[in-house]
Formats: sequence, C-alpha cells, structure tokens
Amino acid sequence: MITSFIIAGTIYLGILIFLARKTRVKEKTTSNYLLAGGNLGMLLGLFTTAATIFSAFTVIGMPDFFRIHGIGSWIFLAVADAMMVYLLIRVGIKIRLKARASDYNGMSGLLAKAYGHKFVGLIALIGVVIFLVPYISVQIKGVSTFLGAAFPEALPHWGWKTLIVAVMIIYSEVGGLRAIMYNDTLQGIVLFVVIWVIGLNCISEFGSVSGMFERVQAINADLLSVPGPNGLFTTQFYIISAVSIAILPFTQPQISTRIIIMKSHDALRRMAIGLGVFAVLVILPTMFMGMYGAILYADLPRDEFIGHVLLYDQAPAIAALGLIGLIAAAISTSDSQIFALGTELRSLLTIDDKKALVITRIFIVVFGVAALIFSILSIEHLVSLALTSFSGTALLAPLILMGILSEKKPGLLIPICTILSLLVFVLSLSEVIPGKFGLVDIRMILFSFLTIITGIEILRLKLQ
Amino acid sequence: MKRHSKGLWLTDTLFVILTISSFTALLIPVGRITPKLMGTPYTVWMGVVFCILYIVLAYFASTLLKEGPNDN
Repeated sequence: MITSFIIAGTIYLGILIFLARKTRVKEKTTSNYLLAGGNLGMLLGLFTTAATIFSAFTVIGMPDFFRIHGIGSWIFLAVADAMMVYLLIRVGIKIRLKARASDYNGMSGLLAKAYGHKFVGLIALIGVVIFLVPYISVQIKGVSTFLGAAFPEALPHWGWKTLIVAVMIIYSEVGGLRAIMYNDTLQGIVLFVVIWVIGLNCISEFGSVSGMFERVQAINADLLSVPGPNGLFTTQFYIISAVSIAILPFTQPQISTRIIIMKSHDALRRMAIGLGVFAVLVILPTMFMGMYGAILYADLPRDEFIGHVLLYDQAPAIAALGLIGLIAAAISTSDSQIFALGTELRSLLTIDDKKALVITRIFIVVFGVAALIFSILSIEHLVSLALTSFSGTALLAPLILMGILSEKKPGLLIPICTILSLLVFVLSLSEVIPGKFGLVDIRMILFSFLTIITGIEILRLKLQ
Repeated sequence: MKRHSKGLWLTDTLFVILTISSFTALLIPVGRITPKLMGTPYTVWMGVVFCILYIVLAYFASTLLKEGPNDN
C-alpha cells in the first residue's frame, strides 16, 4: 500500500501546487484573495460548500458513531442536513441579497454595521473563534488518527497533525479562497467516489443490505432503533442537533461566505438542492461502514476499527486513494474554516486594505496554530466535538439573522443575551456549571432563552 | 407575485409540519425496528423518506423564488 500511497500522494500534491499557482493573484485585495472575486458558479459552489461541511468528521467520525450508537445517527445528521437545505433556500437568498447590498467583507463587519456598534461584530468574531477552532481540530485529529493507523511507525500523532496544519496554512496563504475552493472540488469528488467504493465493499461482506441488518440485529438489536444501545438518541438530542446543524449556513462563516459570493440567486438555488442530494448520498455509505464495524469489530477501539474499515480490509489501491481523499477532506475543510476566521477579522478592520490583509494573513497562521494545539490536547469524540462546535455557533443565530434580516436597526438586547449565552455554554463545557438541569440540556435552555429574547426584540421593533 | 407568496406560505407550512413530525414517533419510534423495507429498519427508510420530502419541498420553494425581481 505504501507504493500506491506515495504515487497517489505525489499526484495530489502536484495538483495542489498547480492549483495554488494557477489561482495565485499578484496584487492581493480583500475581494480577490479573501472573497474569490465574489462570482461563484453553481458547480464550484456545490462542491466547495459540500466539502466544507462533509469531511474527516463524516468519513471517520460517522462510521464510528453508527458502530457505537446505531442507526439513530442517520437521523441526527442526514435529516438535519435535509432541513438545512430548505432553510438555505428560504433564508439564504435573503441573506445573500442583503449582504451584497452592504459591501460584504465578512459577517462580523456586516453585523457591526447593522447594529451600529463594532463590539457586536466582535461578539460574532469571538463566538466563531471559540467554536470553530475545536471544529478545525476535529478535522486535524481525524486525519492524524487515520494516518497513525496506516503508518504506525512513521510519525507520532502530533507529528502528523503538525504536518497537516503546515500544508494547510501554506496552501491557504499562497492561493487564497479560490485555490481553497478548487481543492474542495477535487476533494469532494475523491471523497464521494472513495466512500461509496468502501461502503459497497462493506455491504458485499454480508451479501446484501438486508443480510447486513440481519447480522446486526442478531448481535445487538438496539443498534437498529432509537435511542440506541447507549440511550443517546433522545428527542431532546435530536432537537438540539437539528437546530445546530440546520442553521449552519448562517452561523458558520466559511459557509455563509460561500452563499454570499454565489454568482446569482439561481446558482444558489441549484447549489442548495445539489447539496441536499450530496448530503444524503455521502452519509448513507458511512452507515454501511458503521454496521460493518458493529458486526466485525464491535469491541475494538476507534482507531483500530477505522484502520480496518478504511485500510486493512480494502484493496491497496482503494486504501491509498482513501487515505489521500481523507487528507484532502481534512485539509480543504480546515483551511476553509481558518480562512473564514481570517475573513471575519478582516471585516472588522477599518484600516488600509493592504495593511488589513497583512494582519489577516498573520492571524490565519495564528488560528491554524491554535487549532493544532487544541487537536493535540483534546480527547473528545470527533462527532461530539463537531456537535459542540455546531451548537456553540448556533447561539449566534439570533444575533446574525436579526442583524441581517431586520428592516429596522436592532437594539442591544440580543447582543447582550448572546454574550451571556456564550458565556454560560462555555462555563458548562468547562464543567464550572452543570451541562444539564434535571433532564433538560443547557443548550435547550439557551436556545429557548434566545428564541424568547428574539421574539421580544421583534415585538419591540414592530411597536417602534 | 401574490401566487408565489401563497405558494411559499404553503411550502413553509409544510416545512413546519414536517419538522415537528421529525421529532415524533412517526420518524423516531422508541425501540421499533419494524416494519422493514427490503430488510432495512423502519427509522432508516423513514429517514430517507423524510430527507426526500425536505429536498422536494426545498425544490418547490426554489422554483417559486425563481422569478423573483432581485435575481442577480
């Protein structure tokens, strides 16, 4: 497999260098470097958005989640993604229109203008930094786990992580957003092909889908219904995850930027529908991989299970391609996120464009290093970490949606309540305050609180 | 324009109904595996049905928004 990996790796690296050189702009400006000229077509938009959403967390995290918690994982991600598509069309078009009319440089800057206070933009920036850095670390951690399983003697986990972050930062710094989006497209195609080949291989082990589920039922029937063998999939869990995932396009800047820079509403509409289909088709084979693991590798630790399902049980060429697909997935998602954090910072800087870009590029490195440190220190499960990130940024939704969609200038009630909610959520994650009050999850309480506050603010603005 | 507003009102209503249904026993019945569809457990195939419904609904909403005045 090493030979196949070296060949595939060299080709992939060659394509990366080619794309970075081809898309490199000599005279970098916020528009051409951070926003790729603001002219994104349907196909590139679809793949770059899909690759930003589905990556190492999907390829490594989801099979393991299916293996441990069962088929309820399908509802948690696929149905929530399908909900997202509807909201993307209904709300995304309005957001794109408003943002483009406001000289968009980034969501934080847009919010600072909408609320008339720079500190509101700063809240959005701090919120995404706090919750995107763990998400980036999910990707880095995921792919280093996989590389560690493939080449146990080559490098320690932290060595793989450092290497990935270095490639990611260099690529982003050189090529800008357009290079990232081309890499996303390449990654999306590779990921889609590889995940289906592996998924179908998993089914063929049991003869058919029906045969596979029968075997799972014989071993552990609880895996085939909710709440799953560990009782994870409660209605409350589903509500929290659906809210957190369905509003991702508005709360995570790497996705909202892509919506706003779409060439036209028509391109956005077609991209959204394509994204829904892509989501379902990408998550489905991860279920086959998880069920395969539940039958054959139920008691193995995650890393060993991943090693088997993606590497050792596959033909060498597929395993090598899978490895490259996964590296590409992790790099393309993480660099999009790090880049988005840079863009958010840029949107708050009111200095000369050239100077602002220099500061932004320095901070892209800083954000990358922060994610690297977090990925080394974190021990949480990939999917749990991703969900924490989704829930954290979801707390910003009322602030963002009110700021962009309100016809009248909103007051400071929502920004202040958002700060409080972020603080409470961070304290609960740090276990300073409980994560649950009775049976009610703290996220449920915070979502409800912010919904009520938003209702009050809408009423106040109507009565004005 | 009025016809489009009515259509969007309808898709929005259906979206709300579908979303509420997503958190009920219609999609996530506790401990239930049957009825199976081609050997697939209930929650899996019903999940696929829900995904298709959401995407179809999104498609209809997108066609209603297609002729909007600000398509640029």
